[in-house]
Amino acid sequence: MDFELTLEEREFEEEVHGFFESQDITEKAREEFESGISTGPFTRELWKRLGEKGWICPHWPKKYGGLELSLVHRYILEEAHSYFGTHSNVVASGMAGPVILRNGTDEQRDEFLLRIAKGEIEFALGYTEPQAGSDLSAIDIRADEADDHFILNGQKLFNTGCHYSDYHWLLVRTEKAKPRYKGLSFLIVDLNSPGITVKPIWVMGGTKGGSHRTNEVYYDNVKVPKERMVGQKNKGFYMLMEALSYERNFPAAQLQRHLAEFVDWLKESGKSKDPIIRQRVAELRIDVEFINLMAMRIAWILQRGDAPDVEAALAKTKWYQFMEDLANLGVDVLGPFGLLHRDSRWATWSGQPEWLFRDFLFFRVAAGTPEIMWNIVAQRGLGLPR
Amino acid sequence: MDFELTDEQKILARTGREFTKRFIPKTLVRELEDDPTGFRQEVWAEMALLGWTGWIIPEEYGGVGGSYPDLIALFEELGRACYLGPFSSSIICTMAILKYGNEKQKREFLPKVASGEAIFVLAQSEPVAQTDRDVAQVKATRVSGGWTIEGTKLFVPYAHIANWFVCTAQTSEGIALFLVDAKSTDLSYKLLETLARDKQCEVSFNSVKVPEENVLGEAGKGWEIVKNLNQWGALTQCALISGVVQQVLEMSVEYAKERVQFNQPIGSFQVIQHKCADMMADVEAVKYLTYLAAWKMNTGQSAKLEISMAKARASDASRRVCLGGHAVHGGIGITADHDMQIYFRQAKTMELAFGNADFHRELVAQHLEL
Repeated sequence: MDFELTLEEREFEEEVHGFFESQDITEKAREEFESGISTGPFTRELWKRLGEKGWICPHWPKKYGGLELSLVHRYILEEAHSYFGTHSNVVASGMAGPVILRNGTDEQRDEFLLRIAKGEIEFALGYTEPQAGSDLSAIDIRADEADDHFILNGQKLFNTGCHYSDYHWLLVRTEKAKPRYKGLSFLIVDLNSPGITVKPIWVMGGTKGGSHRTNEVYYDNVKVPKERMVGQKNKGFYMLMEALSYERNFPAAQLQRHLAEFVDWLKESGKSKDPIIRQRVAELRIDVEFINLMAMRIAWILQRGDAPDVEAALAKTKWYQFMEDLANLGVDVLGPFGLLHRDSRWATWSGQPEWLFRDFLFFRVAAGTPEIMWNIVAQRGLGLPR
Repeated sequence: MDFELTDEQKILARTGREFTKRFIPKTLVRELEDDPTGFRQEVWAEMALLGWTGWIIPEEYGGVGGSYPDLIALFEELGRACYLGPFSSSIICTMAILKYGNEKQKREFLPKVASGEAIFVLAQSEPVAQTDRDVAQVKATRVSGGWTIEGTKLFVPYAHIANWFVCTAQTSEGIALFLVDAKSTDLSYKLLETLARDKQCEVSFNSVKVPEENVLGEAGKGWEIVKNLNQWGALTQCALISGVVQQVLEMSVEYAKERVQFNQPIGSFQVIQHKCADMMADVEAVKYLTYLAAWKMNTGQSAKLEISMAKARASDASRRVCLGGHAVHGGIGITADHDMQIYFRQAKTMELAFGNADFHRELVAQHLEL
């Protein structure tokens, strides 16, 4: 076992960090994210600049905008985003893109992959519906076949990013099959198509007033060309599993940074000698080390061409648990001061505890709940019977 | 980065598995628990023949010239097999001689360790009390030609069959370590009856004479050696625990698939599934944190933080996973005939050896400069 980047990888990492540091991006990214639009001109510009350098999908073929490097380079870039508080066009480059690369037609690859790698387009996930959350095989949105297109009718819920994305990575029902998961297909839908209505849903996280936003999306007789179906009709479930395993691969750097900032603050606060707090902080330090190792391991598994479905399910759950534990510790340590919004003059640690405490639950429900993840670990990882 | 075992680790994992299957069946483990000696010379000889006693000893001293991270894979197999014996103590003593012994001591002892002729074990007082204070209960006094050692050591593993001790003692100059002839007639032993029946001993030193040449390192400067010994000890326990928890998880999953209640295998119940998933999370954490610490140590960098992180997690995991194992196995798991209770008792010992989770978490907090 070897836990180090190679010299070449470390040099790449230095180059990447140097670029991010020179942009002064953390504050600007945060401002934009919390303004309610989540992703706007600043982030789009960042994507284009990264895309020019081949730093969105560095592991892709050059003809698709990559540098033909490895998935470790992608891992280094995603960790940099996590550390500096920015995000890549991660749905396009990290979830839909790889699925298109593996399962798409040449035309689909030519149409989308280069634009994804250049940072020109982003996708939004189109999975959840009111009656289909953890049980995605219960989705109902109908894709009825006409001559050269599908006609879509139905509704999506909690589809984050639709308000700024170019395309919807849409899971649809093409057949009323039994079992239900055998009737699912994937379509790439232009979000400018007539008949699509996007309505915001504000969540409890983000700044005052809830700037963390997701959406309801209504499809009313929306026409989608047949060429926009990725993979085989009714075989969407398998690509869904693949896409989900990519989605659950959360970088560790953000957590390491949160913890480091908390530790710095704790030292200044004079509360760092309390033995119980010391034990809880140490446990978080151990948790984040494990989460970091898991993120590295998933990159290594992806680099080998394998699918890290069980590993990602485990890693995502631990990632979430860390956020929950840090949020609780932050508030516990500060008492009522931990409940003050950062705009309050009495707020400590820039109001992070209050913000984290409202925000962490998003990660419990996004990308798969711990309960579902644990089912995957038990059934697919350990072979326990359904 | 590479998350696969190295070639050396793979070899030791494979030969370790074959060895334990053949030489350490559970029938022997049970015999060793009941037998007051609790040691089989032929098993030890085989371990020496396989190169394990000399694995980290350089070839010039009769060893294999391998590295400590290689042994992690072997310790995992020994943990899986519920190995009872002086091997882990012997390895950390070997590391102490390698790092702090002078040339004469290395030439004198290391070949005999490699050949299996000389069994070294560590004699320090209760591990917890020893690791956070620069004191020892046992006293060493200068006499002509060397020292005499007086006092009582506890929890010395396999003292009654060992040939040598690496022994800590308090001198007027500070703490010192001595290589003590365990067969000296001025030593007496009493076997301690322990939970894991792992032959830990009370050792009484009645003016035991030790020649000057058997001081390890410098008298009065022993604290650094003691700290290292305890770190190596902690990491070795992590590796043993890694094997234990993997084995317990496998046994539990196997049982959950077979045991039927309410017309279905109990492994189909969500509570059992989630319990096993919890166990898997612990298994993965112990494994990778342990390999990380061993790898880091081998690069020559300080691995103190990584060792404490690994041991804190391994200590908690050994307890949680074995409790989980008992939960899955139900009534059958607490019978003496079942193996689950052997793992449970050994895991508890490993949990506490060289510092438990609370102890190591405090060390992590110190590393964070809290």
